[in-house]
Amino acid sequence: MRDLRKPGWVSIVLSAFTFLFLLFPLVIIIFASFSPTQILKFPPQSFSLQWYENIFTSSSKFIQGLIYSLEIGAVATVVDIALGVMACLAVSRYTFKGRQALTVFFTSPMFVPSITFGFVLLRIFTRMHGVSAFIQILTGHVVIILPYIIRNTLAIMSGFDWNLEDASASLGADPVYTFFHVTLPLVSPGITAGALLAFLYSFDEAVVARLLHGINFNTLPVIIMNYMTFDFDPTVAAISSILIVASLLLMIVVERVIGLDVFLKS
Amino acid sequence: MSYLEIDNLTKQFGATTAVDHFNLHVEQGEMVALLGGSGCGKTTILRMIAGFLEPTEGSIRINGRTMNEIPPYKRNVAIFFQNYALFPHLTVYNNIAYGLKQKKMPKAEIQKKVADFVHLVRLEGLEKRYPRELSGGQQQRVALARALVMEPSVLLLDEPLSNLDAKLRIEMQVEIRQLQKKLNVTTIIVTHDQEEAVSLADKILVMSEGHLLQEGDPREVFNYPASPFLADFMGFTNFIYGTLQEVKDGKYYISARKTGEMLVAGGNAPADLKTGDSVVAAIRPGNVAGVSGRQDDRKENIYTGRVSAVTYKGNISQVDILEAFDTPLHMHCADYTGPMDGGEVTVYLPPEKLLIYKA
Repeated sequence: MRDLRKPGWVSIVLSAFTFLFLLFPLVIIIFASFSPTQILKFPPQSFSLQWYENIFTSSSKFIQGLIYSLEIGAVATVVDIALGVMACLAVSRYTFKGRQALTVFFTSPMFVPSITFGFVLLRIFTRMHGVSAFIQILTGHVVIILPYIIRNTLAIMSGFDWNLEDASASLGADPVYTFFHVTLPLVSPGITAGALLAFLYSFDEAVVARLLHGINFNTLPVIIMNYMTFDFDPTVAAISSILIVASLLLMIVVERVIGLDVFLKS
Repeated sequence: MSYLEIDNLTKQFGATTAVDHFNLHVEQGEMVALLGGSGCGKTTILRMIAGFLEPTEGSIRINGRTMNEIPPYKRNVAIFFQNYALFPHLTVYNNIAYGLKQKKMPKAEIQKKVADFVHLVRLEGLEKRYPRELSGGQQQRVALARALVMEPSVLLLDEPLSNLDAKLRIEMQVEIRQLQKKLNVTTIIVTHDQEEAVSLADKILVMSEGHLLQEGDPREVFNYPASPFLADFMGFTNFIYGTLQEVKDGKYYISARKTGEMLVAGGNAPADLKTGDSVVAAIRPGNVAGVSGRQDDRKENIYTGRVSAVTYKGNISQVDILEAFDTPLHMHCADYTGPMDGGEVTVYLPPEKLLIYKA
């Protein structure tokens, strides 16, 4: 008789194709980044680091864009952790009328197309004059990445035993002490998972960032898009390869520190 | 003046009244049980004493100080939760030390106090474990130590033994009682288990739907429930309906409904009972005695019925008897050897064990 715990050949083939489909483009990109010529040849003829060099020397200021992207991602994530955790505490600790509606509202930016949202923000900021591109893009990102933090934090809070807060209070701890010594340590895996997803979304976001860009203020995805409009050399492949390796390292760190399964819990 | 005084305590949730003008005075060091089924308001009272819920009306005073406006973290009222609510991210030591650390007590003093209480609840060697690495009984001891180390003015126990198996429950009953007496801490225990209440408390209050139904010492509440409802709750599962025919020498003669059999009862009865009143007599299944036909000079309260089911329950067997009265009769025997399903059985109901209520 067949062993039911072992996967059948259909699921093996399907999984193999899925992995191939996901990973094959990455392999091509990494090969392309070391290509000696502008056009990718397969198999590669020789090996070159010129496109990596081009990242630093190109007039497109990739490094400046990377710094802006990291800044916006970091500030937006920190602001949203504060906002998101407070919002989640409100809707999961208390029962009140409109609680469900409020939860939906907090996650609603996920359902609004970025192009629409970006367009509205552009109209508003154009009328306001003098708002820096940094603040404009930051505002947009604070709104669109909030749902990722809310969803992950709510998921972990829905299983939280609120008796623990009462137990802490009965032992003499005031609400602030209780929050930092009981609630926060126990929900932090959810917050961390949400914050990582939110940061990556902001880092990768191009539509709002493109619409609200300044003359000298472009985030990395926008610079890459602009670059590709005129040049199609493997510089972008080199940047992508660096980002792939960086993401991989980040995932390894997350797995070591809190475990990747936090992403599956929400 | 009592140590803990609760007067006219009322709690309304919207249109429903969870607790209705509840009064309770507890002396220093006393242990009182609030007994009742789920939704009777006992847990609501507990949460109001702890300060997690605000009373709609009435007052709570501890040692003369009104507590109504005081937040839970300033009350020095410790609560023991049904699910223990141990901090899962802290070790046994840090769970017990939590309240003391928060008070910014010197480290050496904390170490000494925690060590004392770890010893008191017999958890030596487990200080570095996390709650999930402990058995249910051990977790319970941690929760108890964590509450008691604060030297609370009042200790609240919410269904403390409901999550333990039978053997451990009896062990912990004894242990809780000893600790409570040793530390002389004023304690209120909330439970739905009448056995737990009678074995732990100095005084029992039986509640239903936010109202106090009966208050008294455990023996009184257990043996003389004040109403048929309470009798049922206390394990009197046999109710025999009838009409009072005569009262003679402190004995009540009742003709049973439908069968007309004469029943003699003498347990206790309402003072204003008159001949011709409809009454109900209640008796515990453990007080129903099987009679093996031939013997007996007893003339009263011998009845014959048909066995409808015999349920083996380990230490006892429950025998369900039909046709003796119009309601089924339950009998508990330690070692039942009588007739099985469908067979005839004769039983004796001791008059002094039959309580009489107005029907």
